[in-house]
Amino acid sequence: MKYSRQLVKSSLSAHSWLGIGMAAVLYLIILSGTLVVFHTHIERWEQPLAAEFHEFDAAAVESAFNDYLTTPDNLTPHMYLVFPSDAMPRIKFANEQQGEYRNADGSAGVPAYDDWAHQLSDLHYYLHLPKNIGMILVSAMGVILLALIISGLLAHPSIIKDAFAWRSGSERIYFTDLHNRLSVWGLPFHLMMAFTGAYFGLAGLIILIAAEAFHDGDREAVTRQFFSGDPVVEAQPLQVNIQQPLQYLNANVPDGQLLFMTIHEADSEQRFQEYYVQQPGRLIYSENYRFDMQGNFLNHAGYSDGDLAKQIVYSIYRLHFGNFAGMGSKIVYFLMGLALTVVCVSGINIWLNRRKHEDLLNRLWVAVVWGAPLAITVSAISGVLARWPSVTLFWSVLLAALVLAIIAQPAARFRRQMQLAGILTVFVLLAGYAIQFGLAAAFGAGLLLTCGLLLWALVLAVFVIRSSGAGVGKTG
Amino acid sequence: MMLFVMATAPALCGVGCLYHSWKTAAKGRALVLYGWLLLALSLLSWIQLAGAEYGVVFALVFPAFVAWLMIVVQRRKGRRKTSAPQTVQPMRAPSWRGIGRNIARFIGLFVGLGVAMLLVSVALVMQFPFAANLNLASALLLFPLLWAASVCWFLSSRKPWKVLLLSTVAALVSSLWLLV
Repeated sequence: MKYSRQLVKSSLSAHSWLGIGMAAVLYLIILSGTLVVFHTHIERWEQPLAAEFHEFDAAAVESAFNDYLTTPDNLTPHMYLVFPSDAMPRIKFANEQQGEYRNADGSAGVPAYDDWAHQLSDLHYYLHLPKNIGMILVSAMGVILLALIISGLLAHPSIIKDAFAWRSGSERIYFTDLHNRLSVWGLPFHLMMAFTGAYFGLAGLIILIAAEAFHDGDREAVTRQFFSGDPVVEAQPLQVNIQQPLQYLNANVPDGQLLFMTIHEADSEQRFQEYYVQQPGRLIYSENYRFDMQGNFLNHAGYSDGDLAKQIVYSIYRLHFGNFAGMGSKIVYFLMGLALTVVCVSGINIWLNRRKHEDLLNRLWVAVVWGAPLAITVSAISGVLARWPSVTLFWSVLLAALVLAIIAQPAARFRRQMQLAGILTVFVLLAGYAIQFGLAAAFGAGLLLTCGLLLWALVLAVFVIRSSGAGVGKTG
Repeated sequence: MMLFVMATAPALCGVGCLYHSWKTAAKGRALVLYGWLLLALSLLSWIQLAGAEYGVVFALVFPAFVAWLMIVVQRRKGRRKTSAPQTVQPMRAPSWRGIGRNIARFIGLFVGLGVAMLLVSVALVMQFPFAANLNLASALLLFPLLWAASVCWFLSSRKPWKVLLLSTVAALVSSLWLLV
């Protein structure tokens, strides 16, 4: 493919401006998204003392859930019963505010602490901003990612010719090759993330325009074309029968993975129950089966066999978060997300290396790159060990790292300090976790995250040791 | 297991062919063709293994791991030259007004192009010959694509006013068609 020199030059300029302007925000979104792939595992890790099982006594759970439901303080418009699944082998009762784990016989378990896991997800979904603004901003970053992909492809005419090159040489060449190789081979994944990421906030804008243009401003009318409306029921009791729906699902969807049940309009007499069942081999989040409160089947939402548009829209969530083929797809998404994080960091490193000098900008970038994981770890110490999840603490640590960057010193030294602080906080977190939860830290629900944190500390240690030579690395 | 091997083997061989053609650039054209054909074959095998939906995702993502592995393995073992210790320079006091002006300009431009492309996308997809909801679902692809492309075009153009003018005209025509 022949590109004109002017096109390459101007595309590179656009690529650089977009990257430099948005790198920090993109980095936070990509890093948190990479971790959120393991959201359910983080939730389990946050409360490792909950009983884990796959089989349960449906009659006992129904009776316990009815007790929970009829306790006046618990009742909110939506009530939830989470069933044990492969990713979350626990039973949880929850309302819109809080939840509690239950044992297989329905008896009371431990409180469901998952606030820190949600704090991490909220960083990815909204950057901790008010939800409507944050979601649009994060989705706009999907557009920026797409713009970076387009300009990056146009700016690198030899990207196919150099498809396997990773040259030794200066730090700039090293980062350039790393950036380009990870980008070109990760392109399908990056495109998937950009398009599906853009969907969450931008769909609302499309609906807004379509509603104004074709439905006299009625947004519900547009939404109904994609999401099934509620079934109409009257005079429903508050007591719920879950055994009959479970029998129905066992008989009619034997291969499905039952996730959870929601009682909609729980505080009115139009209440009904909806069961979310994942379908094998399908990307749709679930097929939803609706029952009245006595357990009589009403209908299914039609996400698995309805309109193509409905199926596409309902598939975007799992395609974005990678939770569709068990642990395998999660690991693949985690690694691809990690690669995209490196693409983001190495892009700015190339630009910093191209400058002939080192100044505050180098250290600010170090503060963002190494300060963000440090801030996540510190917020985990507070959120998981002290049960005090704090968005303010996360941003304070990141801000402190940026303020410390003002101290004039080589960026490499500052980076080592940040990495050492990272190692220290990981060990504080792990030690505190082991003291608080004992053997649960090393077995069962805690194992995966504990291993992940140890690995992260090891990676940081390798970075520290490798960069111990004088002058190594003036970038992030 | 057999299906997994049948899915991964063509992908491995396909990336291997592309790699070999890259190594021996002079006689590489046939290998490039074989490489892509094998990757296409692996797509079919993945679909056979995991169904159409998961299969396409895995087929798109799997070759990256193979290629990255080959890149790491073939990398020459020379030590990376490290930068000489730099004298840390104090950063010149930035022009905060200039930075503020540029950020405001970028946000204005980004949001403006977004609104324009939103109107253009919805107007365009409504011309598609599908069902109304499938047309709207197409806007989920078209809108971010047009928005990203217009931002790239503006930033790389030597006459950015042309991009703004065209976008404004397109947005006006679209909004007239949609809302009047």
